[in-house]
Amino acid sequence: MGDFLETDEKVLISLCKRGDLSAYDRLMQRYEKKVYALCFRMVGNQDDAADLAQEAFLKAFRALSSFNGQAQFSTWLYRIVTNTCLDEQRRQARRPQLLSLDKPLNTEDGQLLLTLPAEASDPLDTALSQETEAEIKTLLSMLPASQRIVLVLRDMEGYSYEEIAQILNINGGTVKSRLNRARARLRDLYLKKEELFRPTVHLNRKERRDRL
Amino acid sequence: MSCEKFTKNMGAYLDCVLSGKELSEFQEHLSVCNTCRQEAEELQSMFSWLKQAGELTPPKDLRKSVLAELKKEQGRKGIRSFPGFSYAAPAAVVLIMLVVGNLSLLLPLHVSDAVPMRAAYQQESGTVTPPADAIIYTEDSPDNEQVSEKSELSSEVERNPSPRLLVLNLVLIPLFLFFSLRFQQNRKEAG
Ligand SMILES: [Zn+2]
Repeated sequence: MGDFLETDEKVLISLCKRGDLSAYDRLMQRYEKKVYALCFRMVGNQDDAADLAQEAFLKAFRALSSFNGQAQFSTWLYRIVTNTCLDEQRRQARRPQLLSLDKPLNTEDGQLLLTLPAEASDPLDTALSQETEAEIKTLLSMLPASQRIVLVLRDMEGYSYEEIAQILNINGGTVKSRLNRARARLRDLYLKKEELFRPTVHLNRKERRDRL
Repeated sequence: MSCEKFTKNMGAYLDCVLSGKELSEFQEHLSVCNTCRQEAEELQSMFSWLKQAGELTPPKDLRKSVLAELKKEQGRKGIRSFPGFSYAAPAAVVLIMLVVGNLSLLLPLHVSDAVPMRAAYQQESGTVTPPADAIIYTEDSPDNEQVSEKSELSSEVERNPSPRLLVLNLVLIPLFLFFSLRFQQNRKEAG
């Protein structure tokens, strides 16, 4: 079964190299869920995630002629996806910060969070899981992109250390240490989340000092 | 008790990739060290919190919009996607330029050859009856008539080449720029 799929994929890829778009449609169908999930976990909103996934798929098709089959196609594709996401994060970091309601703001008092009701999507979703989803999104956005990507790949998308090393083109040791740092940081945020998500927004420096 | 060497392995332990002696040592340490045990528990709790993240569904038109964009690109390429076109076009431009450039060079070459001749002749014709020393120059040519014929031709040519060259350059330079830009675009799209 796995062998068949692999052969089938090779056929699809060689058709794509000759410009066959219906073959590319089938290839995308296999990966769109994972590609989109990766983009969403990196940017935290549907519109940007869809844009990034589209951009990555376009880049992949244009670059297919350089894919020589030495690496797994999935690894090659995810590398394009993560690069696209990281480039976008870099671009956004360079841009002057706009006030965004669902992102943490850095004030001189420390971090200030405005929490809004999670976006209504699937009516079947319970309020609880929507809340968790919003929390995850917010706390992930507080990690540096290079740590976030490793944590998302490992702890949310379930890739092995080796796969992550290949996707990000870094060595295994770097994966390990970056993952450890990312987890430690996210754990700290996770333990403080009740405090972070408390509805009242922020205490000024004096009040905070008094409380402590 | 040094926890450092164990915290380094915490990730591997939680990912179940620790084995053998390392694993048994780690487990032994956890049974006696509250700090590390607490850290492991906190991380486990964070993992199960992360696992609550729902499955994500890509937008329905994701593939469709990718394919639409690619179709547009393929249409735009059209003839350009013919293999070797990207090399053929600039090669043709270079060839045309060589041919035209040589043609345009032929004329000024003729002129520059003729100039000293004409200058010499003008010196001669300045006087109605050429002095005796002028014969030294005309001695080389079979007769004086031929020299005068040549100089008439060359003086006519000399009036023409600069506007002709100007026109050629006016045509060639934009043509060259146009094609080199197109070439670069092709390369970019292909890359
Ligand atoms: Zn310990």
